[in-house]
Amino acid sequence: MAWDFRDDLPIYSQLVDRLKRAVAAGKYPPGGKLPSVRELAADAGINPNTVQRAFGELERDGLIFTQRASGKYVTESAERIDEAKKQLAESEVHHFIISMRALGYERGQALQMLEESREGES
Amino acid sequence: MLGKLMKHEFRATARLMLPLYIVIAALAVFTRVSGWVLESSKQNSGLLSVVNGLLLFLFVVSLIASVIFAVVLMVVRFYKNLMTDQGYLMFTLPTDIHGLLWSKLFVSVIWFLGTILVDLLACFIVVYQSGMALDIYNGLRDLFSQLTSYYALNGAAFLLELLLFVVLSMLVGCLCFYAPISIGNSFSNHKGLLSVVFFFAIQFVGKILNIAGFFSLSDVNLNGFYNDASKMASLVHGAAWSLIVYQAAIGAILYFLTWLMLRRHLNLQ
Amino acid sequence: MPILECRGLTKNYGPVCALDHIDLSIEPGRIVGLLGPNGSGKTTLIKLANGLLQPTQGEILIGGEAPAPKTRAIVSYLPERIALIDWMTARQQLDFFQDFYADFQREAAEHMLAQLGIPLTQTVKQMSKGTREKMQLILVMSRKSQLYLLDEPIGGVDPATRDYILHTIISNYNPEAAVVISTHLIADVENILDDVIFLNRGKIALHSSVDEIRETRGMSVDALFREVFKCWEN
Repeated sequence: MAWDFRDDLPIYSQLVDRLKRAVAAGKYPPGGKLPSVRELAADAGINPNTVQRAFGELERDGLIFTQRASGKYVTESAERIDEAKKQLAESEVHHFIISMRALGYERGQALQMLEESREGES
Repeated sequence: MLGKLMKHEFRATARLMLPLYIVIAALAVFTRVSGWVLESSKQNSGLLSVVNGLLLFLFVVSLIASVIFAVVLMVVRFYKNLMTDQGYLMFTLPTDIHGLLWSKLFVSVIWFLGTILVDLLACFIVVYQSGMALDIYNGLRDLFSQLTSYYALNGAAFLLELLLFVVLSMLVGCLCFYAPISIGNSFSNHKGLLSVVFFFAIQFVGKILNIAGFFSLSDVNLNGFYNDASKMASLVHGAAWSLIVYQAAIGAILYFLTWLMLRRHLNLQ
Repeated sequence: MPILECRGLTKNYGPVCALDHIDLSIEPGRIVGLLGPNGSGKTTLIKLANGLLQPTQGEILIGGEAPAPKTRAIVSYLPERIALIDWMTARQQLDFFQDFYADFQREAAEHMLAQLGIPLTQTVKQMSKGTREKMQLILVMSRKSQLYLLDEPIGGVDPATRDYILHTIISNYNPEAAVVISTHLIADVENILDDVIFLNRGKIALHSSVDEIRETRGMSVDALFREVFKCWEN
């Protein structure tokens, strides 16, 4: 079953985002091998060129690297991964604040709601 | 490529023609056997006579039917393989239209000749009396030598000319169907109806040409020919070759028409 | 060199103009959607590429040459209709393709048939419509060709078959070949397309990459299609 993608953004950029999140979440561990272009394209139900383009961008960002004849691998650098995590998290925060503001909650109120929220507690 | 097309053509048609041949052969054997049974039975059995007569009748019918079957198969095969959805497969093969047409023409003629051969053999089975084969052979040989000596006719050449004419006529016969089907199919509507119309139109034109040719030839003065044997021979050969050339010309025209329709006006739905 | 090229390609059926001076170029390695409403000229363009029709004006080139037996050997065509030989078994159909097409990969085809549970001894006549469509797709995609022309490959099949067809197209992707998918069901194929061509009443209304459309217009190709073709109806 193909993955869901938004239809108003290029798929390659959505894939970049997805893969970054997967790396951040540890689904692809540091130094771990990524699926091949063909595998990923077939799984996601998208064009292999799109996957190629996404890989290209991740490689330029330094999050993954190519090993000739072997495929693509996640970087071993914990710093780089943490940096990516931070960027994603900042983006989440940014979107959270904007959403809350749209509902009429200012930053302070939004923070308070966060404190009082019971989600995520073990 | 032509070889592959012919191989495929044989596969597709043999699955119908070979069972037909088997039926003819079987009927021939049954008829023959029933004849023996009738001969060797002591009593004057009315039932056996009826059965025998029935089988004989069926046998004759099957001979006629085999010829009709071969012709109908040739026509239906062309239509089904090239003019229906199968055409999408056939016309996009890495071959040209000539290959598609000739494979069908060759295989059709081979089946026609085969049907005649099988029918003759079947008749042979039914009526064979001992020594018949030898009689036939001797009879043919006599005919041959008569033709050669009396009419100064080259028997072998004449036979070849006859065979060539027969084969050409079969090819033209096929094209008499292929051409109108191709033309009719180039229209958007009433394809079938138009095919029939064009078939009869072509037949009509053909008959007119035959009559015209016949009348123009009847003016030829034959008086000097009857007494001179060698002149007679060349007349016969000349006539044979004129007919061959005539058939070839008709065939070429019909072939060109068919090819043109399939190349420029292929109207697969 | 582009694998498919049109220069001033025009096709008239009597007074009706099906294609009007089309200029087009498709490079290998691209999956291109040929999109347009019914009667826009998509099927005519594909038939011209196959040599089933002759142009009225202009030219169409496959790998630099006009359509001929030689170009048909490198073009794999999936027609809109079922073009299988009804009395043949699946095995015989494979034999047929293997016989005529040097680029046919028999093992790949047999593997796919096995995957779908289609027995080699089943005749085409016995197969259901959906099975025939899959059979035809397998035959076409098992050829290692340079140009694949798929005419409405997913119209009229159930969603699961649709997924299978798109999956097969992706899995068979070859960077040296181009795939042209002609369809009016855009939303379903959009995710696998590199480029799209909008064809309307015989003219090219748009030729762009999917990424560019989404980046510059912030909408899907499907949405853009609806917009573009709405104008023309006014």
